[in-house]
Amino acid sequence: MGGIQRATGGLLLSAILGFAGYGVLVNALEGQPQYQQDETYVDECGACHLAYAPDLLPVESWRKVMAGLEDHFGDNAELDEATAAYITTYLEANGLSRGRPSKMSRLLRGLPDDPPLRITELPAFENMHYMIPRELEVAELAEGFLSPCADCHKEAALGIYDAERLHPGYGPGVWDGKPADAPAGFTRGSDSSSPSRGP
Amino acid sequence: MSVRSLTLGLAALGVGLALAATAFGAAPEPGALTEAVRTMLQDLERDASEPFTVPAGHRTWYRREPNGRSCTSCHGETLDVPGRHEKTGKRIEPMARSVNPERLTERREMDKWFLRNCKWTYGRECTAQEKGDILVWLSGQ
Repeated sequence: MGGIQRATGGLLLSAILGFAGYGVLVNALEGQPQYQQDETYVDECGACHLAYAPDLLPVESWRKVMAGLEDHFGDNAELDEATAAYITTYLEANGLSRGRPSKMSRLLRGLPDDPPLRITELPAFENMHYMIPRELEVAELAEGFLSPCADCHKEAALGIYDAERLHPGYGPGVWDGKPADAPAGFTRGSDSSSPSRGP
Repeated sequence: MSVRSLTLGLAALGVGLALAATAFGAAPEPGALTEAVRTMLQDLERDASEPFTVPAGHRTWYRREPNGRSCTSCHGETLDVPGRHEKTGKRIEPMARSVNPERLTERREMDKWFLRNCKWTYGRECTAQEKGDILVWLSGQ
Protein backbone atom coordinates (compact mmCIF):
# COMPACT_ATOMS: atom_id res chain seq x y z
CA MET A 1 0.00 0.00 0.00
CA GLY A 2 1.39 3.38 -0.96
CA GLY A 3 1.84 6.41 1.22
CA ILE A 4 -1.15 8.20 -0.27
CA GLN A 5 -3.52 5.31 0.42
CA ARG A 6 -2.13 4.99 3.91
CA ALA A 7 -2.58 8.71 4.61
CA THR A 8 -6.10 8.67 3.14
CA GLY A 9 -6.98 5.60 5.21
CA GLY A 10 -5.66 7.27 8.33
CA LEU A 11 -7.64 10.40 7.62
CA LEU A 12 -10.83 8.43 7.04
CA LEU A 13 -10.32 6.42 10.21
CA SER A 14 -9.72 9.60 12.25
CA ALA A 15 -12.85 11.14 10.76
CA ILE A 16 -14.94 8.09 11.64
CA LEU A 17 -13.53 7.92 15.17
CA GLY A 18 -14.02 11.67 15.54
CA PHE A 19 -17.69 11.47 14.58
CA ALA A 20 -18.22 8.45 16.84
CA GLY A 21 -16.57 10.23 19.75
CA TYR A 22 -18.69 13.29 19.11
CA GLY A 23 -21.82 11.15 19.17
CA VAL A 24 -20.83 9.56 22.47
CA LEU A 25 -20.11 12.98 23.92
CA VAL A 26 -23.42 14.41 22.78
CA ASN A 27 -25.21 11.43 24.30
CA ALA A 28 -23.33 11.76 27.58
CA LEU A 29 -24.20 15.44 27.81
CA GLU A 30 -27.87 14.95 27.03
CA GLY A 31 -28.97 16.13 30.44
CA GLN A 32 -26.43 18.94 30.31
CA PRO A 33 -25.49 20.88 33.41
CA GLN A 34 -26.29 24.56 33.19
CA TYR A 35 -23.25 25.80 34.97
CA GLN A 36 -19.81 26.58 33.64
CA GLN A 37 -17.18 23.92 34.39
CA ASP A 38 -13.98 25.32 35.83
CA GLU A 39 -10.61 23.61 35.97
CA THR A 40 -9.33 25.52 39.02
CA TYR A 41 -12.50 24.73 40.96
CA VAL A 42 -12.32 21.03 40.10
CA ASP A 43 -8.58 20.83 40.88
CA GLU A 44 -8.74 22.65 44.19
CA CYS A 45 -12.04 21.40 45.59
CA GLY A 46 -11.96 18.03 43.90
CA ALA A 47 -8.67 17.03 45.54
CA CYS A 48 -10.40 15.86 48.73
CA HIS A 49 -13.97 15.20 47.61
CA LEU A 50 -16.20 15.29 44.58
CA ALA A 51 -16.07 18.81 43.16
CA TYR A 52 -19.75 19.37 43.86
CA ALA A 53 -21.59 21.08 41.04
CA PRO A 54 -21.89 24.77 41.99
CA ASP A 55 -25.62 24.72 41.36
CA LEU A 56 -26.16 22.33 44.26
CA LEU A 57 -25.88 25.11 46.85
CA PRO A 58 -27.20 28.67 47.16
CA VAL A 59 -24.74 31.48 46.58
CA GLU A 60 -25.10 32.63 50.24
CA SER A 61 -24.02 29.17 51.42
CA TRP A 62 -21.05 29.09 49.06
CA ARG A 63 -19.92 32.49 50.35
CA LYS A 64 -19.94 31.18 53.90
CA VAL A 65 -18.15 27.99 52.91
CA MET A 66 -15.44 30.01 51.17
CA ALA A 67 -15.09 32.34 54.15
CA GLY A 68 -14.42 29.42 56.50
CA LEU A 69 -11.99 27.18 54.65
CA GLU A 70 -9.62 26.90 57.62
CA ASP A 71 -12.33 24.85 59.34
CA HIS A 72 -14.05 23.15 56.43
CA PHE A 73 -16.37 20.71 58.21
CA GLY A 74 -13.47 19.75 60.45
CA ASP A 75 -10.76 19.75 57.78
CA ASN A 76 -8.36 22.49 56.83
CA ALA A 77 -8.91 23.52 53.23
CA GLU A 78 -7.11 26.87 53.22
CA LEU A 79 -6.31 28.43 49.88
CA ASP A 80 -4.13 31.37 48.96
CA GLU A 81 -6.11 34.60 48.69
CA ALA A 82 -6.03 34.87 44.92
CA THR A 83 -7.29 31.32 44.36
CA ALA A 84 -9.95 31.66 47.07
CA ALA A 85 -11.17 34.91 45.51
CA TYR A 86 -11.27 33.31 42.07
CA ILE A 87 -13.27 30.33 43.28
CA THR A 88 -15.66 32.54 45.28
CA THR A 89 -16.39 34.58 42.16
CA TYR A 90 -16.95 31.39 40.19
CA LEU A 91 -19.38 30.02 42.79
CA GLU A 92 -21.23 33.33 42.99
CA ALA A 93 -21.70 33.26 39.24
CA ASN A 94 -22.78 29.61 39.08
CA GLY A 95 -24.38 28.87 42.44
CA LEU A 96 -28.12 28.76 43.05
CA SER A 97 -29.83 32.10 43.19
CA ARG A 98 -33.49 33.06 43.23
CA GLY A 99 -32.93 35.62 40.52
CA ARG A 100 -31.39 33.05 38.22
CA PRO A 101 -33.72 30.14 37.54
CA SER A 102 -32.01 26.90 36.51
CA LYS A 103 -32.62 23.20 36.29
CA MET A 104 -31.53 22.82 39.92
CA SER A 105 -33.67 25.68 41.24
CA ARG A 106 -35.91 23.15 42.98
CA LEU A 107 -33.16 22.90 45.58
CA LEU A 108 -34.16 26.39 46.70
CA ARG A 109 -37.60 25.20 47.82
CA GLY A 110 -38.23 25.69 51.51
CA LEU A 111 -34.85 27.33 51.98
CA PRO A 112 -34.55 29.11 55.36
CA ASP A 113 -33.25 32.68 55.55
CA ASP A 114 -29.99 31.38 56.91
CA PRO A 115 -29.33 28.52 54.47
CA PRO A 116 -27.30 25.50 55.61
CA LEU A 117 -23.70 25.02 54.48
CA ARG A 118 -24.14 21.38 53.59
CA ILE A 119 -25.91 20.35 50.40
CA THR A 120 -27.30 17.35 52.28
CA GLU A 121 -29.01 19.67 54.78
CA LEU A 122 -30.99 21.66 52.22
CA PRO A 123 -34.69 20.96 52.94
CA ALA A 124 -35.33 20.19 49.28
CA PHE A 125 -32.38 17.79 49.18
CA GLU A 126 -33.75 15.97 52.21
CA ASN A 127 -37.14 15.70 50.54
CA MET A 128 -35.61 14.26 47.39
CA HIS A 129 -33.72 11.61 49.36
CA TYR A 130 -36.23 10.84 52.08
CA MET A 131 -36.78 7.30 50.85
CA ILE A 132 -33.18 6.17 51.12
CA PRO A 133 -33.03 5.23 54.82
CA ARG A 134 -36.34 3.44 54.37
CA GLU A 135 -35.11 1.50 51.37
CA LEU A 136 -31.90 0.61 53.17
CA GLU A 137 -33.95 -0.31 56.22
CA VAL A 138 -31.97 1.84 58.62
CA ALA A 139 -33.40 4.31 61.14
CA GLU A 140 -30.90 7.00 60.29
CA LEU A 141 -28.10 7.43 57.79
CA ALA A 142 -24.56 7.80 59.11
CA GLU A 143 -23.12 11.31 58.88
CA GLY A 144 -21.76 11.92 55.42
CA PHE A 145 -23.55 8.88 54.00
CA LEU A 146 -25.07 10.87 51.16
CA SER A 147 -22.00 13.03 50.51
CA PRO A 148 -20.36 10.93 47.77
CA CYS A 149 -23.03 11.76 45.16
CA ALA A 150 -21.27 9.71 42.51
CA ASP A 151 -21.93 6.47 44.39
CA CYS A 152 -25.46 6.60 42.97
CA HIS A 153 -25.48 9.50 40.51
CA LYS A 154 -23.06 8.15 37.93
CA GLU A 155 -22.73 11.54 36.21
CA ALA A 156 -22.32 13.60 39.37
CA ALA A 157 -18.94 14.89 38.21
CA LEU A 158 -20.72 16.41 35.20
CA GLY A 159 -23.37 17.99 37.39
CA ILE A 160 -26.09 15.64 36.13
CA TYR A 161 -28.39 14.38 38.88
CA ASP A 162 -31.56 13.35 37.06
CA ALA A 163 -33.37 10.56 38.89
CA GLU A 164 -33.54 8.66 35.59
CA ARG A 165 -29.78 8.73 35.15
CA LEU A 166 -28.62 6.88 38.25
CA HIS A 167 -26.37 3.83 38.23
CA PRO A 168 -28.34 0.79 37.08
CA GLY A 169 -30.20 -0.77 39.97
CA TYR A 170 -30.77 2.50 41.82
CA GLY A 171 -33.59 4.98 41.91
CA PRO A 172 -37.33 5.29 41.98
CA GLY A 173 -37.79 2.93 39.06
CA VAL A 174 -36.30 0.14 41.12
CA TRP A 175 -38.02 1.19 44.32
CA ASP A 176 -41.47 0.14 43.17
CA GLY A 177 -41.85 3.32 41.16
CA LYS A 178 -42.13 5.44 44.27
CA PRO A 179 -41.99 9.13 43.56
CA ALA A 180 -38.65 10.90 43.85
CA ASP A 181 -40.24 13.64 45.93
CA ALA A 182 -41.54 13.09 49.43
CA PRO A 183 -45.31 12.90 49.92
CA ALA A 184 -46.97 16.17 50.91
CA GLY A 185 -46.56 16.94 54.56
CA PHE A 186 -43.39 14.91 54.90
CA THR A 187 -40.63 16.43 56.98
CA ARG A 188 -37.55 14.69 58.14
CA GLY A 189 -36.12 14.70 61.63
CA SER A 190 -38.88 13.53 63.95
CA ASP A 191 -40.34 10.07 64.39
CA SER A 192 -43.94 11.17 64.24
CA SER A 193 -43.48 12.53 60.73
CA SER A 194 -42.15 9.38 59.08
CA PRO A 195 -44.11 8.75 55.91
CA SER A 196 -47.09 6.50 56.33
CA ARG A 197 -46.88 3.17 54.57
CA GLY A 198 -50.63 2.79 54.44
CA PRO A 199 -52.65 -0.08 55.81
CA MET B 1 6.29 18.97 0.08
CA SER B 2 5.18 15.56 -1.15
CA VAL B 3 2.74 13.36 0.76
CA ARG B 4 5.52 10.80 1.26
CA SER B 5 7.92 13.24 2.91
CA LEU B 6 5.11 14.63 5.03
CA THR B 7 4.27 11.12 6.20
CA LEU B 8 7.92 10.43 6.95
CA GLY B 9 8.22 13.69 8.85
CA LEU B 10 5.14 12.90 10.94
CA ALA B 11 6.47 9.40 11.67
CA ALA B 12 9.81 10.85 12.82
CA LEU B 13 7.97 13.34 15.02
CA GLY B 14 5.94 10.47 16.52
CA VAL B 15 9.05 8.44 17.32
CA GLY B 16 10.69 11.52 18.84
CA LEU B 17 7.67 12.24 21.05
CA ALA B 18 7.50 8.61 22.15
CA LEU B 19 11.18 8.66 23.12
CA ALA B 20 10.76 11.93 25.00
CA ALA B 21 7.73 10.55 26.84
CA THR B 22 9.73 7.48 27.90
CA ALA B 23 12.56 9.64 29.18
CA PHE B 24 10.23 11.91 31.16
CA GLY B 25 8.10 9.05 32.43
CA ALA B 26 11.04 7.09 33.84
CA ALA B 27 11.13 6.66 37.61
CA PRO B 28 13.40 9.24 39.23
CA GLU B 29 16.66 8.21 40.83
CA PRO B 30 15.98 7.37 44.49
CA GLY B 31 16.88 10.24 46.77
CA ALA B 32 17.34 12.70 43.91
CA LEU B 33 15.94 16.11 44.83
CA THR B 34 13.62 17.85 42.41
CA GLU B 35 14.34 21.45 41.53
CA ALA B 36 11.29 22.48 43.57
CA VAL B 37 12.53 20.57 46.64
CA ARG B 38 16.05 21.98 46.28
CA THR B 39 14.84 25.58 46.36
CA MET B 40 12.35 24.88 49.12
CA LEU B 41 15.06 23.30 51.29
CA GLN B 42 17.21 26.40 50.79
CA ASP B 43 14.35 28.55 52.07
CA LEU B 44 13.64 26.24 55.00
CA GLU B 45 17.29 26.01 56.08
CA ARG B 46 17.22 29.62 57.20
CA ASP B 47 14.65 28.79 59.90
CA ALA B 48 15.89 25.33 60.90
CA SER B 49 18.38 24.61 63.68
CA GLU B 50 19.59 21.16 62.57
CA PRO B 51 20.54 19.71 59.19
CA PHE B 52 17.64 17.90 57.54
CA THR B 53 17.91 14.12 57.75
CA VAL B 54 16.12 11.10 56.35
CA PRO B 55 15.55 9.35 59.72
CA ALA B 56 14.07 12.51 61.26
CA GLY B 57 11.73 12.84 58.26
CA HIS B 58 10.71 9.21 58.63
CA ARG B 59 9.97 9.72 62.34
CA THR B 60 7.93 12.86 61.71
CA TRP B 61 5.92 11.22 58.94
CA TYR B 62 4.88 8.29 61.12
CA ARG B 63 4.50 10.26 64.37
CA ARG B 64 1.01 9.83 65.78
CA GLU B 65 -0.64 12.62 67.74
CA PRO B 66 -2.56 11.91 70.97
CA ASN B 67 -5.75 12.46 68.94
CA GLY B 68 -4.69 9.55 66.72
CA ARG B 69 -3.84 11.71 63.72
CA SER B 70 -0.76 11.16 61.59
CA CYS B 71 0.36 11.72 57.99
CA THR B 72 -0.59 8.10 57.50
CA SER B 73 -4.23 8.77 58.46
CA CYS B 74 -4.84 9.71 54.84
CA HIS B 75 -1.65 8.75 52.99
CA GLY B 76 -1.61 5.21 54.38
CA GLU B 77 1.24 3.25 55.92
CA THR B 78 2.84 2.50 52.55
CA LEU B 79 3.84 5.34 50.26
CA ASP B 80 3.89 3.54 46.92
CA VAL B 81 0.18 2.76 46.96
CA PRO B 82 -2.73 5.24 46.93
CA GLY B 83 -4.07 6.61 50.19
CA ARG B 84 -7.64 7.48 51.11
CA HIS B 85 -8.97 10.71 52.53
CA GLU B 86 -9.79 9.89 56.13
CA LYS B 87 -13.25 11.41 55.95
CA THR B 88 -14.43 11.44 52.35
CA GLY B 89 -12.69 8.24 51.26
CA LYS B 90 -11.42 9.96 48.12
CA ARG B 91 -8.38 8.32 46.57
CA ILE B 92 -5.07 10.12 47.18
CA GLU B 93 -2.37 9.39 44.63
CA PRO B 94 0.72 7.66 46.06
CA MET B 95 3.29 9.94 47.72
CA ALA B 96 6.32 7.95 46.55
CA ARG B 97 8.10 9.51 43.59
CA SER B 98 9.19 6.03 42.51
CA VAL B 99 5.63 5.38 41.37
CA ASN B 100 4.30 8.94 41.10
CA PRO B 101 7.01 11.20 39.66
CA GLU B 102 4.68 14.24 39.75
CA ARG B 103 5.14 14.41 43.52
CA LEU B 104 7.38 17.18 44.92
CA THR B 105 7.65 18.99 41.61
CA GLU B 106 5.49 22.04 42.33
CA ARG B 107 6.27 24.48 45.09
CA ARG B 108 2.74 25.84 45.20
CA GLU B 109 1.31 22.38 45.81
CA MET B 110 3.88 21.57 48.48
CA ASP B 111 3.22 24.82 50.37
CA LYS B 112 -0.54 24.36 50.13
CA TRP B 113 -0.62 20.79 51.39
CA PHE B 114 1.95 21.32 54.15
CA LEU B 115 -0.19 24.18 55.45
CA ARG B 116 -3.50 22.32 55.32
CA ASN B 117 -2.29 18.93 56.42
CA CYS B 118 -0.02 20.08 59.27
CA LYS B 119 -2.89 22.10 60.68
CA TRP B 120 -5.23 19.13 60.45
CA THR B 121 -2.74 16.65 61.88
CA TYR B 122 -0.96 18.75 64.51
CA GLY B 123 -3.34 21.68 64.95
CA ARG B 124 -0.54 24.04 63.92
CA GLU B 125 1.75 24.78 61.01
CA CYS B 126 4.79 22.53 60.70
CA THR B 127 8.17 23.97 61.60
CA ALA B 128 10.81 24.51 58.94
CA GLN B 129 12.73 21.63 60.55
CA GLU B 130 9.80 19.22 60.21
CA LYS B 131 9.11 20.20 56.62
CA GLY B 132 12.75 19.92 55.59
CA ASP B 133 13.17 16.53 57.25
CA ILE B 134 10.01 15.21 55.61
CA LEU B 135 11.09 16.52 52.21
CA VAL B 136 14.51 14.83 52.23
CA TRP B 137 12.95 11.58 53.42
CA LEU B 138 10.06 11.72 50.94
CA SER B 139 12.44 12.45 48.09
CA GLY B 140 13.93 8.98 48.49
CA GLN B 141 10.61 7.13 48.45
